[in-house]
Amino acid sequence: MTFRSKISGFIDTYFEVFSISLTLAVLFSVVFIPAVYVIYSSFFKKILSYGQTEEFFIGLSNYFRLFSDPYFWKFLSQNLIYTMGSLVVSFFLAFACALALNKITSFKGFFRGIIILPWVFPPVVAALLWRWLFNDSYGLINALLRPVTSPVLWLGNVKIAMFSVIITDAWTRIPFMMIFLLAGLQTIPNDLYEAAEMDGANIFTCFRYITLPLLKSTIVLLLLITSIFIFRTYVIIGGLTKGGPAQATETLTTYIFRLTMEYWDIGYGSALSTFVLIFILALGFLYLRIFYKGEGF
Amino acid sequence: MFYISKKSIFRIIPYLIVLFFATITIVPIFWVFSTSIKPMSEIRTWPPYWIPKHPQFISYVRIFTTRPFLQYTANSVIVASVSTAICVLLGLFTGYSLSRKKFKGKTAIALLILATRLFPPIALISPWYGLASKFNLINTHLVLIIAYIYMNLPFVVWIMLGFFDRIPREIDDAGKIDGCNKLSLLRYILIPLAGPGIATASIFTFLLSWNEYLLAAVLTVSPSAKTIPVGVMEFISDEFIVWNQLCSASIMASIPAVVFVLLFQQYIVKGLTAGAVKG
Repeated sequence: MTFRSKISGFIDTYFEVFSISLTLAVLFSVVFIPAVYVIYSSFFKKILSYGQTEEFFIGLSNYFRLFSDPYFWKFLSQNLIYTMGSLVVSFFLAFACALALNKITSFKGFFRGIIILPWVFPPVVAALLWRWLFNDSYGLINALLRPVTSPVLWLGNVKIAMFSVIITDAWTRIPFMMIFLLAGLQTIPNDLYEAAEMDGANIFTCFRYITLPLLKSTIVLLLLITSIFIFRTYVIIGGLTKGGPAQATETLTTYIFRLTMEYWDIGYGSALSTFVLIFILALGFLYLRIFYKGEGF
Repeated sequence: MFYISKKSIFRIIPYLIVLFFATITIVPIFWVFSTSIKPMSEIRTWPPYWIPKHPQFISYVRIFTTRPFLQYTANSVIVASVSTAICVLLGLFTGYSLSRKKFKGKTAIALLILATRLFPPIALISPWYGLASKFNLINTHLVLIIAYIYMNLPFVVWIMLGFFDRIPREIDDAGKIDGCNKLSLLRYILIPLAGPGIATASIFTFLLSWNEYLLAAVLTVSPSAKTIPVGVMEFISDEFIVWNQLCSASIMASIPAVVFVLLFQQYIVKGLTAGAVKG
């Protein structure tokens, strides 16, 4: 046996084991080790200041502090409002758009190309773009609303800021949801609709009794995965308001960023991070279960 | 006769809806472009006008001369292309292996890989920062390359797994009879067949790495490693925001996205539906 063929035999035997292990090793070291480290750090008082670390074990104290922290509860509920608000707005708009796009015959690719743009845009750009549109003195939105109302402080008013954040976030989510729903719609065979029409069904009964039931699992998966994505997003709020005004748009993600990257309160930040991690992974577990059943393997 | 039948109304409505969505997409983008070519005096006018009276491209020059945008662009190109190359190669091999090798626990491994994509990056920024500084990797290209490989690898594996599953195994057997080993089988037969999957995965990985903000903001500190999104965000910390330069920078940052959509819309749509793994 030559050296060359020995090598090629070696590659042939271990190729799969090697590549799967390498992928798992990468993901393990970048995800699982840091995740364990976050949980571990949450049991310590650990504050970085001027290059020095002060660190000692305090058990569950960070968690007691977390659950009695009024900011935590406020930001958690704001995080949920942000998530649900953007989810609902983008889902209904995306559904309408997908239904319409599924019906049209000419310029379909052209329109689809335009409508997916917000998804491929850098999220930072989307956030700053809307920050400029919402600008109270020179923004386009106040300019368009000039006949109706005096300038509105879209990002400066405590009562309106969250609404503006939700609109911005929804703008970036619509394309993904739309394409996902469109793909689902295209799997529904056309003769179902034709048969229903023969039986005298109108558009609305077709939608209610054919489209919705057949899309049910697609919709459930889509809502779950998108709510995970929205809940953990930092950059939209980071670019629009940084949590202001008067913490009206602060969420757990901006709070984590503030605690760990600005106050360097790593221990307490880790306790909050652990909470978010567990919350998201619970949703993720649900997603994977449904996904796994749907794929049927 | 001005008779419009009910049927033709139903045919027009979808076009109107689609037109509405195209408008709410295009108008904001147009507005940013319009701002980017306005002089500051025209930005501070009320009511604002749509088309600049004295269009000028000086803001595009300024971001490269008064700010380190050339360096940011170079960093983004390096980080996004290297992470894409590594990610697609490793994802390709892993996807192939998961598709072809039969072993116990295969489904569990595939789902585990997918699950890593669901971990919230925001919850992991402090250990990443800590680990990166322990290994002296803060403010390097390497740390961002590693971060983006993690971000995109699960997705690439799943796309490739899906593509290889659709290629019949008989083709592998035919190749083996002709004397192919695994690498030549991949190189001469399977990779050409999985071409569209590789294109989708590459475009996605490149775009997501190019667009990423949070990790880049946490893991870099100086222009030598900062990427474009971080550079764009820097305008906000200024005392007074130079909107025309900010908009020029935003347009520059969005060029890959627009180019890819124009050229490869099919692949992007395919990736969106195949993956469901973008955040």
